[in-house]
Amino acid sequence: MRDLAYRGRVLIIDDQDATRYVFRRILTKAGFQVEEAATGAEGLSKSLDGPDLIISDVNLPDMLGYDLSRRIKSNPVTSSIPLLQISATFISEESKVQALEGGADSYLVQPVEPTFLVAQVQALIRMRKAEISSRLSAIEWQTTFNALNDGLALIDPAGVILRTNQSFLRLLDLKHSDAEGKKLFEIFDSKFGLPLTDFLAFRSAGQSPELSYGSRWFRVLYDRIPEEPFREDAFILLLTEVTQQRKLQETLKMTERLAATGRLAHVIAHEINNPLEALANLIFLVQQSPVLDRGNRELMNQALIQLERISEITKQILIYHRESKQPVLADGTDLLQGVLAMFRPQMMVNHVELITHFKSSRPVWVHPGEMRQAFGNLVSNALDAIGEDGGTLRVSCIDTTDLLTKRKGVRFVFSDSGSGIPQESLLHIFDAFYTTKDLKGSGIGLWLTSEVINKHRGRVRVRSRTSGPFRGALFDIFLPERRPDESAIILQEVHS
Amino acid sequence: MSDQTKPRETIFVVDDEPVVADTLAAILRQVGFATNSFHHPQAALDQAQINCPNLLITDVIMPGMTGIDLAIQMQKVCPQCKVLLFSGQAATADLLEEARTRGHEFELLSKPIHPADLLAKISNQE
Ligand SMILES: Nc1ncnc2c1ncn2[C@@H]1O[C@H](COP(=O)(O)OP(=O)(O)O)[C@@H](O)[C@H]1O
Ligand SMILES: [Mg+2]
Repeated sequence: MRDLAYRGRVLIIDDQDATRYVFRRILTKAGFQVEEAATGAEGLSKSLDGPDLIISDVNLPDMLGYDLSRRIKSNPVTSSIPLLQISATFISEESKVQALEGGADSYLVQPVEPTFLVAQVQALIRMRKAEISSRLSAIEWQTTFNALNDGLALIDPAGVILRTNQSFLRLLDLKHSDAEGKKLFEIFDSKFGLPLTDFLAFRSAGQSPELSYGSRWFRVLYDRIPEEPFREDAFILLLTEVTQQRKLQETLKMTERLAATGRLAHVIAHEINNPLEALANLIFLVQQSPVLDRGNRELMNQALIQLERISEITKQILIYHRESKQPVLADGTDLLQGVLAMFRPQMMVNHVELITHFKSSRPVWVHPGEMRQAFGNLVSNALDAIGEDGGTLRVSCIDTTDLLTKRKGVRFVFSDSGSGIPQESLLHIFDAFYTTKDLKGSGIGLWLTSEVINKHRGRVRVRSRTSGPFRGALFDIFLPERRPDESAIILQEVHS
Repeated sequence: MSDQTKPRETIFVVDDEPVVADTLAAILRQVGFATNSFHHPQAALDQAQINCPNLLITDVIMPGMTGIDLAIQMQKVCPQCKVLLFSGQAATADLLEEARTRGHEFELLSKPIHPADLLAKISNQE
């Protein structure tokens, strides 16, 4: 071989010895290594060695040129090898088309000018190398980007999705065929319910809105990929899932809001207490006046009674938000009465008849502030469910023994004549932030209540009817008599 | 009215809300106590150097000095002086607990208190 650089390996398939000879000369001179085959079958088997290019006659004794090309192109081992077909005689444009349709990459007619042949062969081999390297980089791209958790898509300048990684498809519940080759704006519309143009407008306004699809939230980055100077720019779309962060943030916000509400109530209650004290004293002083007649003295008495009502409310609020670290032994009836007192005004306004049945003599260990809050939420929900047109709220408190665990304790029942809870809601009412009251609800009431009851080793049960004469909801709470730590031991015994 | 022949009990009422301090003092005066009302805790301490009260009724959360600190200092000057704290705030529970660990036990009434109840408390103190 000459000391020319190796430029590639060419397989020549031709039944004419003379033609093969000429081609071999031309190509070896130009630096190519040449293999030969005299029949289609031989050519096919030699093509498996992976030459860089195949030159074949269209007129082979054992098969037609386009049969050969079809077979080369349909075998995955050889499909990427460029194929140059040569016809010895002039043939029609039609045959040329046929040859190319069979998969030939190029087509030449004899006699072939040597320089033209070399140029053609070089071009085809260069093309193939470029293709291989681009395919390799595509594979690399795919493996690297499939390993990412973030969803990634490449978008061409016309807004068509070129490639995506696995995460992109997984995050948006897409199949390959749903994404690649599709317009990005369609995906945006159907997944995020947001026109791409709106998103781009937000983006250019410096905002980066988080988008949601289903129950997932994403931070979305859409950016230009700088390319060679003369090419139009492609874009990259990056989806980072932020659902967890968002949930955390929302919980934090809610906790903060709760704490703030508590503090606020506290401050207000205290601020009210001082003027109340002054008012009580002033009224008392007036009452002491010797010149006050009987009628006015009675009016002053009434004023004092009203004042006491206000005092009761502020006192309740302050107790409500007082933190008690240790559980105390408390009387269930006292707890309930304290809570019910707070709702008395609302019950009056909404014509709610309160029927109580207090028959408990067994004190329970509780964190009183928390338990008041738990009970308060139940009463508040019952009043919401009854609405403004009146109804009945039954509250009872009796000593009992839990059938399941045989623990002694106290049972508290809140039963209202309100709307009841539909079957499908029952599963969710204890979930945090589940509410059917839109802006009026927070959805934390029952969640908090069940947390508190669980902390006290108690149990909550619900029953509900949404129609009929016994319509309404019934919340049944059991609190064990013993200290929380003692009852924990008992619970374990039962479970083991 | 109490017996005029024996020296009248002196009560200091301290509250940073002037109306509260003054009206309470007026009520106590009506039932025969000698009362002074103060709107600043320090003023009550200054007066105690001249004339020891038998009873100190003080708000707890005040600017400058808490009612608990006032009570402790007052009892240094006037060891015989009894103390009633009254407060509208729940946070005072912590202050009270802290005073207890330092060896001072005070009774706390919560505001608002009906004047009749307060009078009953005071007669119990004696
Ligand atoms: N007594 C009740 N009657 C009917 N529905 C109720 C009752 N108690 C709770 N619910 C339902 O449970 C949901 C959750 O209650 P809750 O956690 O207290 O949140 P919120 O009251 O803020 O909505 C309510 O929105 C309501 O749909
Ligand atoms: Mg609620």
